Amino acid sequence: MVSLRSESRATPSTWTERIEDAVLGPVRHTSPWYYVLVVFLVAVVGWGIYAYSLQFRHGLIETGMRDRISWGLYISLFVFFIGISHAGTLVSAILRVSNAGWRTPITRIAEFITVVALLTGAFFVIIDLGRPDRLLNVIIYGRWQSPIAWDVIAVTTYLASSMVYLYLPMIPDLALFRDRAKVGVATWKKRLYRVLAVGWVGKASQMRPLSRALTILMILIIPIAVSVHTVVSWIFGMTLRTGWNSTIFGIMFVAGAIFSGVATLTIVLAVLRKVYHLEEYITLEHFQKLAYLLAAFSLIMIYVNISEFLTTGYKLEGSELFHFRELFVGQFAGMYWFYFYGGLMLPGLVALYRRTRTIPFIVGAAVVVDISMFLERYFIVVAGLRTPLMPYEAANYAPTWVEWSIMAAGFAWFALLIALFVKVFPILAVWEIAEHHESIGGEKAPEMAVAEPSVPAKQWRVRR
Amino acid sequence: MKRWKAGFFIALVAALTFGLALPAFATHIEIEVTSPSHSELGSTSEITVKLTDADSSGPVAEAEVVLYQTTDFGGQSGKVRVAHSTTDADGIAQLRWVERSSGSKDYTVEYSGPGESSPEGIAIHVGEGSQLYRSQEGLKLPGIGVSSIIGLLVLIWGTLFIAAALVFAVVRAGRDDPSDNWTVEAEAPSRRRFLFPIAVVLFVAGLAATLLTVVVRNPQTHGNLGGPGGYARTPVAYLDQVEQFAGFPLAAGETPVGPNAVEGGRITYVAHGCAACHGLDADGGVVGTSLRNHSADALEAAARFGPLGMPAFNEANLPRADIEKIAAYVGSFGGATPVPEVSGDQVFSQFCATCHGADGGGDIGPALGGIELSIEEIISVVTSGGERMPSWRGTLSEEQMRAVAEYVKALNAPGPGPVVVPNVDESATLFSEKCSGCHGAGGVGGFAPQLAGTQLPADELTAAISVGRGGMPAFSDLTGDQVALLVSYILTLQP
Repeated sequence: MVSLRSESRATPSTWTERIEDAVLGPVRHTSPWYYVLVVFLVAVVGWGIYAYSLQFRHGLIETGMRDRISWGLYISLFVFFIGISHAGTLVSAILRVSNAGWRTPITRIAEFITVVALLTGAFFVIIDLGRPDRLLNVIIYGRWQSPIAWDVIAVTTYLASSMVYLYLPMIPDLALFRDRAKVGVATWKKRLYRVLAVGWVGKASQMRPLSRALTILMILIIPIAVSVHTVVSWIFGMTLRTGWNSTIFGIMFVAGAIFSGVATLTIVLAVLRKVYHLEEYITLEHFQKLAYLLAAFSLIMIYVNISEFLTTGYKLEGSELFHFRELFVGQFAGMYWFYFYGGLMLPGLVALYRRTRTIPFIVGAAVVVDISMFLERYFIVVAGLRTPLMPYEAANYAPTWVEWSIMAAGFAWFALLIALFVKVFPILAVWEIAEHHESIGGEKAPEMAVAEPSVPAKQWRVRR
Repeated sequence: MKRWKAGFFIALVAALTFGLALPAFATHIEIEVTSPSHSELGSTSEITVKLTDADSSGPVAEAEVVLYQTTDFGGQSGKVRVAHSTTDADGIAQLRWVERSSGSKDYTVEYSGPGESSPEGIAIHVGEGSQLYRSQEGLKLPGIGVSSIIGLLVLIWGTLFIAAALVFAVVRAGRDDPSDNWTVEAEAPSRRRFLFPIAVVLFVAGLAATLLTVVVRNPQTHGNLGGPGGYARTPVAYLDQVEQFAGFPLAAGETPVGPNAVEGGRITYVAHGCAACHGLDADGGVVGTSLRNHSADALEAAARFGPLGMPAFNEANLPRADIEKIAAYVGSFGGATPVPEVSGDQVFSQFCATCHGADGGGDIGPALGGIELSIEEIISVVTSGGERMPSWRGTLSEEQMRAVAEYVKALNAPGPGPVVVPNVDESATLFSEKCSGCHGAGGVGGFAPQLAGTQLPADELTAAISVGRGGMPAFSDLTGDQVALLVSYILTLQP
C-alpha cells in the first residue's frame, strides 16, 4: 500500500493536483471493504441467477403471474430502471445544452447511471419472457405495428446513443488516466486506457471534432430519451384496459422517469462523495439544485396525477369505479397514498425550508422518491391488470420468492456495475470541471498528457 | 309457465313414445317454407314453415323446426343454428332472426324428429343495409406510415453514426504526434488506436441495420396468419412438460410424432390442448373428466359433440387419425384408474336431481315418479334431451344411462320412492340437491363456476339463487330461509 501511495503527493497543494488525486484515487487505492461489498453483490446476483435457473427450467409457473395478471414485478422493474436511466440525459444533456456550469462534477456519474440502468432494465424484459429462447423472434418476426416493437426500437436507440454519449466526453479523461496512472495500476487497465484514449493528446485539432460530436449528441439524445419513456408508457396506453387507457401516460411516464432518475442520481452521488471524498467537487449546492429539480418534477407529477384521476374519476365509467376503489381505498391504497404523500409531497417540502435543505434530508427524500416511484410502477401494472374487463372475479397477484430474488439481483447488479466502474473509469469529468473552474476565475486547466504549450487553454473549451 | 313447460315436456315424451310405438305414424314429414328472397343487413328476416304428414296429409303440431345457416369462419365451414320454433296446431311455425352479414346466404330448415323428413334449403340475398360488425376503415393520412418510421430511424441513427464517426477525426488529428507515447511501445503499433473507434462505429451501424431490417421486412411477416416467413406458433407447453430446445427461432408448428404409439399419442394429446381440461395424465382435471381407457370411438363421439361446455372438434381441427393416437395414449394407463361402479342413484343425484328433484318429484323438470316409459325409451330421452332438458349424449356413458334409466323406472314402483338419506346438516342437503349438479359436489369441479372459496358477496349469491345469473336458472321455489341457509353454507366452502 505504501508503494501505491508513493505516487500521490503527500500534501496536494494546487487545485490541479488535488483534482487529479481525487479522480485517480479510486483507481489507485482499494479498501478491503470494497471487496466485501463486491463479494456480497456477486453473491446476491448469483442467488438471482439460481432463482432464474429455476424459472428457466420450470417456466413462469415459478412466478406469481398467471393468465389474468400476466405482468408483475419484472415489468414494474423494467419500467423503473428505464425510468432512472433518465438521470443521465437530463443532468448531462439538458444542462449541457443550457450551459449550466454546476453540472460538470456530476455529469459522468449521471451518464453512467443511464447506461447501467438501461442494461439492467432491458434484462427484466427478457426475464419476463416465458420462452426466452424465442427472443430472436422479435427481430425475425417483429412488426412495427406492435408497441412492443416500438419499445425494442426506442430502448435500443437510447442504449446505443447513451453509450456513445458516455464514451466521447470520457476520452480526454481516459488520456489523463493513460498518462498519470502509472504506479500501482494493473497492466490490463493501462492497456485499456491506451486503447480507449485513442491517442488523445489534447490538440486543438482533436478538440474540434470531439466538441462537434458532443454538440450533435447532446441535442440528439434529449428527444430520444423523451421518446423512450413515452414509448414505454404506450405498452400500457395503447390498450383499452381501464387504468392504462390514458392520453396523459406519456407525459406521466417521462416526468416520473426524470423524477426517479434525479432521485437515483442524488443517492449515488451521496454514496460516492462519502466513499471517495469528493466533497470539494460535489457540494451541498449540487444536492440543493437536485432537490429543486426534484421539487419541480414532483409538482409536475402531482399535476399529472390530478389531471389523470379527475378526468376519469369525474365520469367514473364502466370498470373505472373498481379501479378507483382498489387504488384509493382497496388493495393498493397503502402504496398509492405513500406514493402521493411521501413521493410527491415530500421533495417539495424538503426543498422549501432552509432547515431541511441539507444533504441528509435531501438524500432521505430521494430514497423515498425512488421507493414511491417503484410502487407507482407496480400499481400501474398490477392494479391495471387486476381490473376485470369481463364479468369474472378479480384475480390476485403476489410475487414469489423467485421474483423477489431476481429483483434483489437486479438492484445488486446495478450497484455492482457502478462499483466496478469507479475502479476503472474516471468518475469525474476532469476536463469539464477544469474548464468550468477556469471560466469562473480559478486555476488553469491541468495539462492533459504533454499538451503542446502552443495550444491556448481556451481552445480546450467545447464550443456551444 | 313452468307447469305448461312440464306439460309440454310430457307431451313431447308422449309423442316420442307414440312415434316409437307406431312407426307407421311418422314415416315422412313434408316441409313447406315460405321465405323472402331478399333481406337487408341488420333487419329481421322471417320465414313461415308448414309441416305436413305425408301419409295423413294432416298438420304436424308441437314439432320443433330449426333453421341453420351454412357459413364459414376462420377457414372452417359448417352449419350455424340461427333460429328455432315450434309448430302450432296447424303445423305452422314462424322463424325470425336478424341478418348479421351481407351477401347470398344459404339456409336449411330441418325438422327434428320423430319420423323423417328431408331438410329444405332456402337462399336469401342480404343486401348491405346498415353497418353491423364491419369495423370502420382507418384514416389514411398522407406520409404517415412505415416509410415515415424508416425515415425517422435513418435520421436518428445516421446522426448518431456521424457523431460516433467523429472519433476517427480525433484519432487522425493525434496520430504522429511526438508527445503521444503510443508508438514508443512496440506492443501497440499506431494502427491499433483505430481499433476501438472501429468497434464503436460497427456497434452503432450493426444495431441500426438490425432495427431497420425489422421495420423494412415487416409486411412479410404478418405473424399469426402465416405467410412466406413460415411462421408457426410455438406449441403450447403445459406444467411439468419438458419442452425440447429447438433452436432460437420459432419451432415448427406441426405436431411431432413420438418414437412409439403411446408417446406419439401423448404429444398429440398435449398438442390439441386436451391436457388443459383433462389433465396431463388424462385422469381428469378441474373441469374435464378422466379420459383413461376410452376407445377411439367413444372419444370421437364426445369430441365431435362437445358435451358439457367442452368445445366440439370437427374433422378439420381434430382428425380421426389424431383421435386414434390420443386413444392409444389414454388407453395406455391400463387398470391404473379403477372404472367407478355405475350406480343409478349416484348418476341421478349428480346429473338429474338438480332439475327433477332429489327424489324425482319434479322441480324445474317434470316429476318422474309414475312415468310410463320403458327403460329404452327413458334412455332415448336422456340421449336426445327434451325441450329444456339437455342431451346427455357424450356426458353419460351407455352404462350410466342404463343405470339411471333403471333407477327412474324404479321410481314407478308403488309405495314410497327411494329413501333419500337425510343429511344431518340441512344446508348441506339443500346444496347437494340444488347446487352440486352443476357446481359440483362441495362446490368444486362442476361445469358451472366454482363456488368453494367464491369471492362473491352474500347479497350477490342470494340474488343469483333467487333470480338466476348468466346461464343459471332461478330457484324461485326456495324460501327465503332456505336461500339464506344456502348462502351461508356456500360461503363456508373451501376449495
